[in-house]
Amino acid sequence: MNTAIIPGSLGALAKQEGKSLAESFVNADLIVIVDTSGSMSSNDSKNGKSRYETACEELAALQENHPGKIAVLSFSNEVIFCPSGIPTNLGGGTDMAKALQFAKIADVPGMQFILISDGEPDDETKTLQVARTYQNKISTIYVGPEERPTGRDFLQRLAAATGGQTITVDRARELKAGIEKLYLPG
Amino acid sequence: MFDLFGNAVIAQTQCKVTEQNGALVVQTPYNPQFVALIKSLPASARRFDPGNKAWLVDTQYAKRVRDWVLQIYHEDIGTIITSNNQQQLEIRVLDVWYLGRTKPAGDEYQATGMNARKEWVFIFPESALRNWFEGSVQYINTTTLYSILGIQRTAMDEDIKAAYRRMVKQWHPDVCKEPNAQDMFIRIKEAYELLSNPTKRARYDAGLVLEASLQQNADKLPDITGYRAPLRCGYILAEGYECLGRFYVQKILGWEDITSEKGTLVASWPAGANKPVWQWIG
Repeated sequence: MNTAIIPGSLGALAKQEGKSLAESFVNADLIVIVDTSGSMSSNDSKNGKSRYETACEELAALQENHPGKIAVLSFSNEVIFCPSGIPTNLGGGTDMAKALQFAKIADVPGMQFILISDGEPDDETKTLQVARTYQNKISTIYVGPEERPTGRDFLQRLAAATGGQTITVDRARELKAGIEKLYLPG
Repeated sequence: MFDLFGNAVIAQTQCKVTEQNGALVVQTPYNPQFVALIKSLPASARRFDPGNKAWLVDTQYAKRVRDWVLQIYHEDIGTIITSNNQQQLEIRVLDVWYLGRTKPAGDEYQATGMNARKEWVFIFPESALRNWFEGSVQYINTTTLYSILGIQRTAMDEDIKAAYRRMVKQWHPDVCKEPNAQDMFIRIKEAYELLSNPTKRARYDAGLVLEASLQQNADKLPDITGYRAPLRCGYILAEGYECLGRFYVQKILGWEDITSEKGTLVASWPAGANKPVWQWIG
């Protein structure tokens, strides 16, 4: 397991300031929900890296640029809060409904949500049902290959259901720039 | 068995163990080994009664006492039958003039409280203190901003304000002599600033849940290593039972400041001192 802490992550800030994670979370205004299911391990991203590896690098750079503002969640069949700033590589399925249900706790005024995935959820209906309960918008980023956009249509519908935006970032290559396009720091 | 003169000797029992008021009364001849064994029990589970020259021991240790009597005095006192209704719960108002940090006591952690006569006669399990200060749902192991102010997570705005005023009074470094009074005073101010802002509070609450989820994933057991209640004294309405002359709290039902015409009582234990100090503040 990777135990590194990304500079600028909530975990790094909590450690630096001697505060609890909960207190660090008070200043966060973006929840990035990252799909780390099996397909994210495809080695088709830049320099032969997997989509997952590239996503980690991009997220690390993003958190350094916006210290203490971004909370990272990782999901597949499970959902995990990742205060270190590195989404845990879970493998397995794509239980997007569960991920949104988990992240719902942070659906507080002023919070932004960006969901990153390269595939279709296990249960589309349930995922949309949960998404519609959100007060805030959920934006989505499709990180699968553009030539085989499986799941992109669903991510568009998901974002539309909450009034969010959607973009495509081919194989997570320019994920940081993609997130920054959607994210409006508070 | 015969004595030197050939008279039959009837074996005399030296040890007597009875049950009184929910405690074992252990009367034996003095034996340092036996005393050491009794003292190996948690301090909250035994007390020497000088009037009767007997040890009072919590009935849950009946089997151990029996084994020790057999081991040291070679007497089998038989099975000690303890009554089931010994720990009858009652509600009392406890005048706690100083409450310490929780320490290991048997299977759990307990804090001991002192009464106005400076006797350590109140026993608080850590779970009862945490339930009172942190609510029945304990999200995380570390101290929360709610517990710093001594309020529940469901507290209303006015409760937060009242708790802040109370805590600032109790922990003002000019009055409170606890070694961490200055730090605590700053934390109280930080806690109030955050919790009195609805947006920040909502985010903090979400953060608590996320933080707790990490513990669930790690399958961690609750960290109970010396909890310190944010208040050191008070009139505490508590449900519990009396045993060995002490009151064992099971549940805290209320906690009011101790007040008199002199003001509100602030109790603190200065670093290096061998007892707490008390001050009345207006």
